[in-house]
Amino acid sequence: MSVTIVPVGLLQPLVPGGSTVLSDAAGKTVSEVLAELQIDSDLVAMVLVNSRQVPKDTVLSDGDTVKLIPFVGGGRR
Amino acid sequence: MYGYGGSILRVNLTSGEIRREPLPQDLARDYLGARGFGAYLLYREVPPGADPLGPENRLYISAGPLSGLLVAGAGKCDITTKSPLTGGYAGASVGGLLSAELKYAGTDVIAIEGKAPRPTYLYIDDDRVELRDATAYWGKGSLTTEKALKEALGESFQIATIGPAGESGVAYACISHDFGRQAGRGGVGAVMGAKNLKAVAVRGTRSIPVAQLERYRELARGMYAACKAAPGLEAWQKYGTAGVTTWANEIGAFPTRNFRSGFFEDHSSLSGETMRAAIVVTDKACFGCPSPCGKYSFVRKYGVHVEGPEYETTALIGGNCALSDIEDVAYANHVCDELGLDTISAGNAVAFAIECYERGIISKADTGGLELRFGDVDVVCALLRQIAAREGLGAVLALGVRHAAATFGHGSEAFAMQVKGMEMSGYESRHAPSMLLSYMTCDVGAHHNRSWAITYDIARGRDAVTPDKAAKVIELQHIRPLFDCLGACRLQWVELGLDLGHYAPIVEAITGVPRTWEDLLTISERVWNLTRLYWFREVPGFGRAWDAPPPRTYLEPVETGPTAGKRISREDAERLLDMYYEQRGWDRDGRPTAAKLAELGLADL
Ligand code: SF4
Repeated sequence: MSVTIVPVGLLQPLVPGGSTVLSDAAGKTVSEVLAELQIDSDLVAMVLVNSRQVPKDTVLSDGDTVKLIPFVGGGRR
Repeated sequence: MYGYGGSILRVNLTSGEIRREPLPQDLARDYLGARGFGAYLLYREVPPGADPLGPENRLYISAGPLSGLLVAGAGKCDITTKSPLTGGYAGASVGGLLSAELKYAGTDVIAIEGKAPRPTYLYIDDDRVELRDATAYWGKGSLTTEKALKEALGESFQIATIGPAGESGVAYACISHDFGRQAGRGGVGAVMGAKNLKAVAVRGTRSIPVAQLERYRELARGMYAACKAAPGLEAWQKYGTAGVTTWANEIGAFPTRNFRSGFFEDHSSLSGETMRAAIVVTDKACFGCPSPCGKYSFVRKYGVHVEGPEYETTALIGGNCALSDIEDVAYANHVCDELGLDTISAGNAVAFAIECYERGIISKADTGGLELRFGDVDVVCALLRQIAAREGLGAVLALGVRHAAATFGHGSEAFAMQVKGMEMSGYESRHAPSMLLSYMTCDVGAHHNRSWAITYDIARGRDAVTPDKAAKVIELQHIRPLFDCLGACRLQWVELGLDLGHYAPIVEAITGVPRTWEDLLTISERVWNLTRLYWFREVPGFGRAWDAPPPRTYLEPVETGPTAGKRISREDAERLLDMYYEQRGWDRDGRPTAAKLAELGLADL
């Protein structure tokens, strides 16, 4: 009963250990999970659930792998 | 000369004279390549006040020191001229294989002047350079012409061509290459058309001398390895720039219905995922690219192929014209590509016309009976064809929205989305001050590629109007156009996060000229100030007013979506300009000060 969150590149340091398995994320939206992880949703360029791009209001299911892709060189820092 | 093709190829279309000059060493030292070469030569060689569509204007097609070498994304080519759209500097970048081929033909710059007496194409096969009759191709579409020339000359030739829009002088006609890559902005295609030059075909078989071969190889391997190991590669390759359509809507930046809104209610039907599943056939890359962002698509509904649509086209033809079927957007993209129209300016022109019609500023008497409405692909394509032919309403729209607004009047200037005469690209920026400042100060007009700062607005607070935002825009205006001087793509940095530290060492290893990253940025700043001087020289009365944002951004709040109700005040826009000018070393009218010019080695201009 879990969802795996894999932040990529610049987002990695925002999650301790570089990735995390959330036991209670099924049924929540990607946006809700981002808020819990304190990741600024607007800086996540793409969300891939099981290798397919989805909008952030997508509701997650048990066993999903969520990849978070940031912008890098667009003037973030 | 290490790293360069070694020559400027000069072509006078009026007299038919063709000659090669060695590439001046100090030009390479001070201006590096591609965009730098174009900007310098334009300033020095094209007489002040030249008619952009007259024979005295010149077209410079230039490669950079990285072009054609083993460097990630080293396939960018710069095309510089005086713009028929804006009357100022035009520098357009195109990917594909053109700049690499030019270098293999021993050429860094093709400098084209004059006007051919009849439709002509330029044939370059290493040292064999000829002007050939193009009567058979005149009137044909860009994709059709490229295919025909490849069939006639051989697959190993690289082709740059114009379509009917370039021939007829549409002020935002593009130059097309590699079946779907465009030097899109500023009307470079119209300049080519005015010269009766239908196409350029190049083949080169030489190698490029490299100063420090072993070091270069090692650095190049490191660069590719870093790209291939980038954790974002899978996603960026799968969706290309279309991957950001969803995000742009989530943050309220997706131009919709002539920028009335930053959110398109049907955006999910245009998303990268929808596109990938519905139409994409394969990935397509430029020379030497480890991260192919090009998506080659088949549009079943219409039976046509197209490269794309990439994000900008989805934004300006999709959201901005409210088309909600990815196949319709892809088809309109194909129509633009064949006609040789820049999709960004064309999407703006069509949306502007529709809004004028909806408001009763123009009527069926102006449209030839056509009922204009958003969301109708037939209306979009009908207008695109009229524009390319410069017929009916298209004759007005073909000169850009600034001209159209001046013609239609009745307050339409307020929603003509342009700066300096160039239509705005795909980011609604009323709630993104640094992005808006990027558009206001971009050296070709309202284009995003010199500075793409919207993520900085998000990170630092979207309401904030602070000096660091101006500083960020300036920083990006030096980094991003530096890639255009190098003849390389910036997306490996922007998307994959390739460290900028890779670039100076490999430039040094290739050219043998010791350079730091800061040295390279100084060149980029020099070019930025030079293009600014060009505007002052060419446009009577040029100054601060030319950096004003479109009135819609400060007069009207965003209508719907996450940024609904937001707008920037005119005062804040002016404050941003003050901060920007001061940090740039420009005066209050936006003119580079003598001290700044001296610092950059431009004191004699
Ligand atoms: S990332 Fe895209 S534009 Fe850049 S070199 Fe690769 S294919 Fe060309």
